[in-house]
Amino acid sequence: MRFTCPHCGPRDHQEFTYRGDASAIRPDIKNTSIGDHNAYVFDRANPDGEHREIWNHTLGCRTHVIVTRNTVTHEVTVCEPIGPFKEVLS
Amino acid sequence: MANSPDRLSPLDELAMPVASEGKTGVELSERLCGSLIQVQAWPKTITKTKAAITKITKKRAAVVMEVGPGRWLIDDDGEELEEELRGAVNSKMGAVTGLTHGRVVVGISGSKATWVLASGIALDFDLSAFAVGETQVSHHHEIGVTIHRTGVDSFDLYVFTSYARALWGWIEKASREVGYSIS
Amino acid sequence: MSGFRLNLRDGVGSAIDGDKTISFHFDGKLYAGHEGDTLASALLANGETILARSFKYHRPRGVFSAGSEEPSALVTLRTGGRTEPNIRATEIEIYQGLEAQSQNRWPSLGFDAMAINQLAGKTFSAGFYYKTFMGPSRAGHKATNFWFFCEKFIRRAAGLGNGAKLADPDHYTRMNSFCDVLVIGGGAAGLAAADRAASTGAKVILCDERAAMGGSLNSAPDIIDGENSAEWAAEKASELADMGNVTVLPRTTVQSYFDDNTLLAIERVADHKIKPAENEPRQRAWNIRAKSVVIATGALERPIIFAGNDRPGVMLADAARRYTLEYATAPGKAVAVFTNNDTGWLAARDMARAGVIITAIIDVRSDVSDEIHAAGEESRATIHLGSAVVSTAGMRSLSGVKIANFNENTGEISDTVTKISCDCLAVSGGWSPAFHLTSQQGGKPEWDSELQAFLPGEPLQKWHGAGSMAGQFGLRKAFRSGEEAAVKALADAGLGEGESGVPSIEGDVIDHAPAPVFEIKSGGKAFVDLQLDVTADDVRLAHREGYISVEHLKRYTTLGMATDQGKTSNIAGLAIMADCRELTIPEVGTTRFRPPYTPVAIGAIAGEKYGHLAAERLTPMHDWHVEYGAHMYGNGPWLRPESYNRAGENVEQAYVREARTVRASVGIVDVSTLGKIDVQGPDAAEFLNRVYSNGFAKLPVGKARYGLMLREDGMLFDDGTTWRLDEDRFLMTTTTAGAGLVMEHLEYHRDVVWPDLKVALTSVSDEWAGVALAGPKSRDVLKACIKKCKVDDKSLPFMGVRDGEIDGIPVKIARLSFSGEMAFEVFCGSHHGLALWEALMKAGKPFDIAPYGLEALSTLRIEKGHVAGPELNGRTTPYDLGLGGMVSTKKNFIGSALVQREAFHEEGRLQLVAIKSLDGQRIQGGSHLVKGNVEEPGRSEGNSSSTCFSPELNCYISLAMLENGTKRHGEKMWAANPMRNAHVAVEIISPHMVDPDGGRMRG
Repeated sequence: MRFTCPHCGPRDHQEFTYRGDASAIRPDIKNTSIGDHNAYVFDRANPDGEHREIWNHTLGCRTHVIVTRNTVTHEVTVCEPIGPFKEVLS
Repeated sequence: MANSPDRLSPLDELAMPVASEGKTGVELSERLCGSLIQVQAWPKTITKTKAAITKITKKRAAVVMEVGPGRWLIDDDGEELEEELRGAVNSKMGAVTGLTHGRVVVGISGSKATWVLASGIALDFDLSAFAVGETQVSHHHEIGVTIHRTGVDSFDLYVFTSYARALWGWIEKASREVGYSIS
Repeated sequence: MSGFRLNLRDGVGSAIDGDKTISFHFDGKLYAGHEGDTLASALLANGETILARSFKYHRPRGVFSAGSEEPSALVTLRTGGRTEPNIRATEIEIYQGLEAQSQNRWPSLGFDAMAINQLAGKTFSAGFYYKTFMGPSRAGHKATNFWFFCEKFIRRAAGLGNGAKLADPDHYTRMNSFCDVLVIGGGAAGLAAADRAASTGAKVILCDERAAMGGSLNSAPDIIDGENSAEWAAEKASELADMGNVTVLPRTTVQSYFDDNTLLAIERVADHKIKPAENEPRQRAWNIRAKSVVIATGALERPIIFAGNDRPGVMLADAARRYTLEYATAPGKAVAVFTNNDTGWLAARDMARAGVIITAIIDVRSDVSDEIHAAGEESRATIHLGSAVVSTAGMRSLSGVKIANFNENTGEISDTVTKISCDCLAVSGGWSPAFHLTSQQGGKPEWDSELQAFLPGEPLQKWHGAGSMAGQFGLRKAFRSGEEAAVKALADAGLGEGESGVPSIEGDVIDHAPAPVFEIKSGGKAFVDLQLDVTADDVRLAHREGYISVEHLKRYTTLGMATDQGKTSNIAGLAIMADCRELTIPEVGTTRFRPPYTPVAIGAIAGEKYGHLAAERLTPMHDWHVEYGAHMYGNGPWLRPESYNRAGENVEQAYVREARTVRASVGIVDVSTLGKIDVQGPDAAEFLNRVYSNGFAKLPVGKARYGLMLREDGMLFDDGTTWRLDEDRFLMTTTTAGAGLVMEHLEYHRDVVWPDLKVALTSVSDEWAGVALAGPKSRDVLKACIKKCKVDDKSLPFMGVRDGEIDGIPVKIARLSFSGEMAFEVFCGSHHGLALWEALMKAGKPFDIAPYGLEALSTLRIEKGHVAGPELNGRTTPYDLGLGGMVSTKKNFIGSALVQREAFHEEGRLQLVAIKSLDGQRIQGGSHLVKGNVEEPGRSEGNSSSTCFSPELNCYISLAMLENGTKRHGEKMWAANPMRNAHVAVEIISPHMVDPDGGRMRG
């Protein structure tokens, strides 16, 4: 697979490290609910098909990217930036 | 700083000058930076930080490499760059990190430079994809490396100090096929 | 015997150079061939017919094909460390001094004692292993025990070649490559595609598995642009190679088609030489990222299945033709052709024109076109229409066949048979497009009933088929479809259409469509898969026993599972199953091809990475450690000193001495491998406060703090000290092993979870070399060499951080202790690391300073009860390790919610304790803590984690995790490690075995 890093351009997926399902949003730092945190850590849809996931370009610029990937065909349809520099990179 | 003892490169004894026997596809070299400083701007201070860097670097032969969003790696012969940058870039603008000891620079040049590099680096070295003066952050096998193209057939590889010997070993091995010299 | 060398002339011997003679050995016997010969063509030309013995039955086998699809003629090539088994004799080019051995025979190829297996044919039918060695017991033995008894005999009897046990002296390398258009296959379609694509200036790579480009052009009788087709192909290939934008790679097999148009090709750089030239790799693995791909891999001829079809001398018709025309090697003295399509007839004609005697053409069809009949007559063969081969005869190799009348509609054969003498039977059962690569990446093949073959189907990636691979048979269609595919590929790459260069062609217009006849059912052993000895009856047996899906058929019979992946056998196998099930072949379906296309040497995959496999990280003091006798030890990617063994010392004696020196005086250890992260920005303190379980917001400048990081699920993640260098600047240290993971963890939370925080994170692990001085005299050592900084207790209190200078080297000193002794960590720029180390060694000399390694470091922290990797194992919470006090209840942080889960606070959790050996025995790591003696140990209530000999307690000790351990100090148990035959009496004690109040390190 090849991902397009928003900063570096297209690279082999071996340069990236998987960081999880992009739909999992961490509860606010003030939130102390065990249930909410439990859902954040453990509940995953594990879809058969399109999946938005976060990868870190660890062997490159270390920017995070949201990759939309088909879990069946491995087709990568979208690579979008996430993080403090999201707007700069969009 | 001025009185500090000589710095020792991990390649000190490996990268001894060697003339090639027969064909010379590439010439390898090794150096330490006088200063190698990273500046990271905040998302809203990129322009301002870049301007501050340029103000300092334009008066010297420093190489400014963009290595990430709002992030530059600045290579200069002098030893006072960190202090000057720290003076110009305060924490409201960004962060200044010294990496002078953290990298060793491996130079490679010659007609077979891209051939040798491509044996370990998964980058397209075509000039349309990687122009002279550009910098790419990637890896040689699993060793992270920042690659600065200094000419059509010449590159500087900024490699982590602890991995310098491993990288040198691989580059030297890959160079044997095309013939090499060390300067 | 049969084959012989023909006279070389125009159009005969295009692949070989008759002026250059090469000698080589096969099974120790000396042979001569010509440059350009394959081992198969050279042996055939020398009259050899039997090249191998079969996998299960040890039947003699000959050459079946002329390419990489070869199922039978496998040999072991070269000797010593360069030995390579299961190499196809049809692919390897001979070179002066080549040595090859036949395989799977004992004592010799001609007489093989194991051929007795043939008589036990029924025993070794499909499912033999499952039926014999699994399931119910036999004669009172479990079937699996029976297997263990039989295994060594079976392994000797069945199998292929043996691998080398010596290291391969050659090296392999890789190449990363990018192109606009990758053209796979250098035949007519591939050359046309490459030519068209190259005309636009596009970056083109053209690969072909053979030594010369040209594919079928090298044996085609056609005239291309007024030239012999092989010469035209050679000229076109060299013209392309001379273009700056084209890379032509002969001897290069595209093995694998991965996602996003990434393909792996293996170039056999030096396999055609006795050994690689100096510094030349044996093979090069090309990792090609192509904007678009033209697949022009051709088609593979397939056989018709009939009784005795494995007898040496039976080969594919096009292979026979290619040996004749490319290698000037007659495949036999009298060749008969058995076919279900026109190409068999043309092969007969072409061979006859080159001087080969064709005795008969046997076609299952009752009628052929006038042109084809004329071609048959030109070959001067007797023509048998509506006929089929029903059996073969011969001692070891073929001496003749029997044919009968055949009804192509019903498949019935007549009782009356005719004998035909021949020493080679050239068989053509039609053509199967070689769409292996498109199948690998998930493409679903589609059946073409006209061609009686699967075609590649719709592309899932950016590739375009051309030539016979795409069902476009014949040179005219090949050239045209090659260009068309190139135009589409250029569009994928965003490039223009380029210029057409289709040449003029004079030659046959061939109909490749066969009659749908796959098997002649005449009784007797008819082999479908020649490599794994799978017969047509095995397929029918699988059907009778319920293994009717193609996937089950494959696994039950092993059809198509050999090193050739069934290149010539799959379709016949499917056809027989379809016949059993009374379905059509597409209804039965196909299995998916898997990479690689042909077997790949492991060296080509490993490339430069062998030995330690991963790149080694070295600290700046590495050479010193080695010089001073340290045994270097792999710790993740790092090499670290295990201990500095003095003359006569073993590792244990050395580390005990080193640890004693630290407790008594002072020791020095290289801690450069610690992960170090520069954390800067206005929100740095807030960020750290969220990632550590204990408070960091109020850490004063010039102070360090030990911090715990949890995972979001509440488990311990990593620990280390973080130093506040300035209001908004911190230097974080992590464990050596955790450095990379911690960095990613921090980056994830900074970027994805809290993007509003202004924090810069930079790995500075390589920037700083680190040295720890530990022991009661450590301060004295520092005092002796430090400048610009005071190190007395008031100026540099416990956990204080100061800047200073040693021997002109700027340093940062932090008063931290991992050993429990008075200790300091001294950091300096990496390029000064060795100088700092030597300065400290010099300053420490009056105090008998001793360098210590990982073992002593570990011993000291075990004695102190400090946790490390074996305790931070991903299954422990801070409470389990007695670090509950470091879990802040005043703030929220990563893991703060889930660490309070009920299960983490229940009775019975494993808790950190220490154990000491009561009987002088060593405690093995990973021992189970049990209540009973060795006879009745009872249940495991915990386990030992980090073990050592403690100089302080003068006995073997270990940290351990024990159920409710904190309440069980004083209890006596056993540390059991039955795998190592150890059952050690131990006492549970507090993990804080040294200076529990911390007086020494604070003093």
